[in-house]
Amino acid sequence: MADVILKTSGLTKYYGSKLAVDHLDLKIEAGSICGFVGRNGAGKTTVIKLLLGLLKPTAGSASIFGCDSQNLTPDIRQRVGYVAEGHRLIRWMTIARLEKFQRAFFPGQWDREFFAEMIDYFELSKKQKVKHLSSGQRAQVSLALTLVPHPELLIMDDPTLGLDAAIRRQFLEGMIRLIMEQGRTVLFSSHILADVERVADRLIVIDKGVLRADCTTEQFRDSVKKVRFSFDKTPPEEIDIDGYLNSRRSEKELELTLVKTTEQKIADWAQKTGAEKFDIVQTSLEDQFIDYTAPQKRSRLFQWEKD
Amino acid sequence: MGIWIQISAGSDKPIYAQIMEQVSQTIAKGILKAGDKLPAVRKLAAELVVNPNTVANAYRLLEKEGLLTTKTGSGTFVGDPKLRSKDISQLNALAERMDTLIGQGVNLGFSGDVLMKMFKDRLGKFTKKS
Amino acid sequence: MKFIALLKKELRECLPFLIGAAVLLLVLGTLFLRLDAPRTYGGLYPDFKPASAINIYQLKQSSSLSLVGSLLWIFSIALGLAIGIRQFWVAFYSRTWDFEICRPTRRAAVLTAKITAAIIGFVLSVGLVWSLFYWYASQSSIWFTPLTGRLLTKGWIFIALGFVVYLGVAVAGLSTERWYTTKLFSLGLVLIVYIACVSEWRLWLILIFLVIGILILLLQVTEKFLNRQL
Repeated sequence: MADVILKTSGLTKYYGSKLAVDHLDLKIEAGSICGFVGRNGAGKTTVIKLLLGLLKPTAGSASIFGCDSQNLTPDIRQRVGYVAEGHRLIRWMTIARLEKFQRAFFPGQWDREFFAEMIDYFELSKKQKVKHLSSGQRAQVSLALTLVPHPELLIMDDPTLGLDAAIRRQFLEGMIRLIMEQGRTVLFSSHILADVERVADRLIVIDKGVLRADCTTEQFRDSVKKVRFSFDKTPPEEIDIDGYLNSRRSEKELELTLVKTTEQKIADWAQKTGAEKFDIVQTSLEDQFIDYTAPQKRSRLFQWEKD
Repeated sequence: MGIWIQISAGSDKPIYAQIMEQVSQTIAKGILKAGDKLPAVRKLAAELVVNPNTVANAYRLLEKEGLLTTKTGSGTFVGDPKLRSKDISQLNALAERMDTLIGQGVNLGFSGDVLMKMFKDRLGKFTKKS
Repeated sequence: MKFIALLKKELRECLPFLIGAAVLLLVLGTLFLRLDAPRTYGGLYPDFKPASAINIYQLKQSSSLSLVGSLLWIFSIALGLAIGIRQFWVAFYSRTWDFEICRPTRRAAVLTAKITAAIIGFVLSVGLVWSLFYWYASQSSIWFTPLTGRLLTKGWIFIALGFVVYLGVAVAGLSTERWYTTKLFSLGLVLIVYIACVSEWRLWLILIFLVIGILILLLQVTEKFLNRQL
């Protein structure tokens, strides 16, 4: 049983009267890469900031390595690497100067060769000033600064937003490289489900501040099913099957998105409604995510007229 | 032993399934023979930029099917073909895929004979090497 | 180690202002002393009348030095504004605040580094230059009697006033009030201290106002800095 690295307990955050995080209970164990996904404004950044003690919860608590997030000691902070979207580094410093600055905060942990290797790989020069770097290059430097101390916990808050595919790939490679070290944990939020599918072995889905899923990627992929029912008459209006999320219908077909159901239940319902046959359609993680977080009972923005 | 595996993230097929399929094909085509060593889980994971657990999972499932065997400490190897299990679910899955192909062929207007010949030709490419 | 790194960064960021203030004060001050420029400011700054005037030259010299004093007053306030804005306003607008705060160190250490850098900055730039002027004036062979230390103290009070302005700007910058009137409330306190400093009151009374003002502002800065959410 691995150690619990990140934990939240009834974590709640209000911004004025707006509820951003709603009684979140989360447990993340060591050794996994957790993909943290959700729509824009679902509360991902808020949760991360609460975990890092950058925000105060309205209720509930959060902790890292067993230490309450509001009182994180410098020792604990040294074990955590944090990269956020925007990558605001100190503009007037050169990369070399920045390395020296960062190094001072991780005594005994800094891996000079690794840093040099990364900077070299990114084709950057240590003499360059941060203000002369492009946003992609700043992201690369951020990645280097964060990975080089070999943190036990890496938290990334959508660090590759707006950046090109090559840089996104470099971040993923960095995560993979880190996870190969003993007992490391990664929590990263992203909108690119393909990236999440690649590297995450756990999926955490948050929607409107509420935890909707906390399971392995495999479990999620198995749980959200799209089933196509074929009828020889008009498909039934009422859909009373377990785990029904939303639907799409045509003249003779009904496509349902179902969650956590069994093939037996599907077969039973098909029989009950007189469907000729049904197919379980495999879809991409992105499609599954969209269906899972779509407004209830309707999976498409536009409803076409029946033609 | 270096094998080329290409995965496509974000597609309908889970990544572990893609890895399984490609390793199976590599073995079926004879590029990897019984006793050959497969790339280490970590190495393949780093190369494909996927979670090592995904690769480990693929290897594990292939081992269950009898295609691979693991020798603790040494790595994962291609298993003895005689020990490969051929269970019903695999045949069913195979049948489904055959249906797709046959359906396509028939819809395109090809006759049964043409399709049969094509099947025999391509099968020859595989069995020639094993 | 960590604190030194923070301190070095803060000092480096203020350096242009420190050098600018010091050099300008040095140059303009020397000019004023040499040219013996006539007073044109009226009653906008305090009179540095020495306790006793021996002869007319002394009076004249001391008035030149007091002109330097008025320059000192201007530059100290300007420096206070500059450092305060650089340390507590710019970081927010350029969003490097997150990076500064997410250091594996106590948040208090980040603040202490900033304030320490400000103090060192004041002492080593305008402080040093002012002391230099005072020393130079005291070496001048025209003087028959030594300058009173009161002049030097008054100068340092002005420098401290610059530091008060710095703290006021810091508090304003850290304040999360949305309305600018409440945000700049701390500057009201600064004004009070300023008025005290330029008054003709006894020295110890001025010092009390100064110390209390600095303490209150320090408390406010600390409280706001440590509690500010990102």
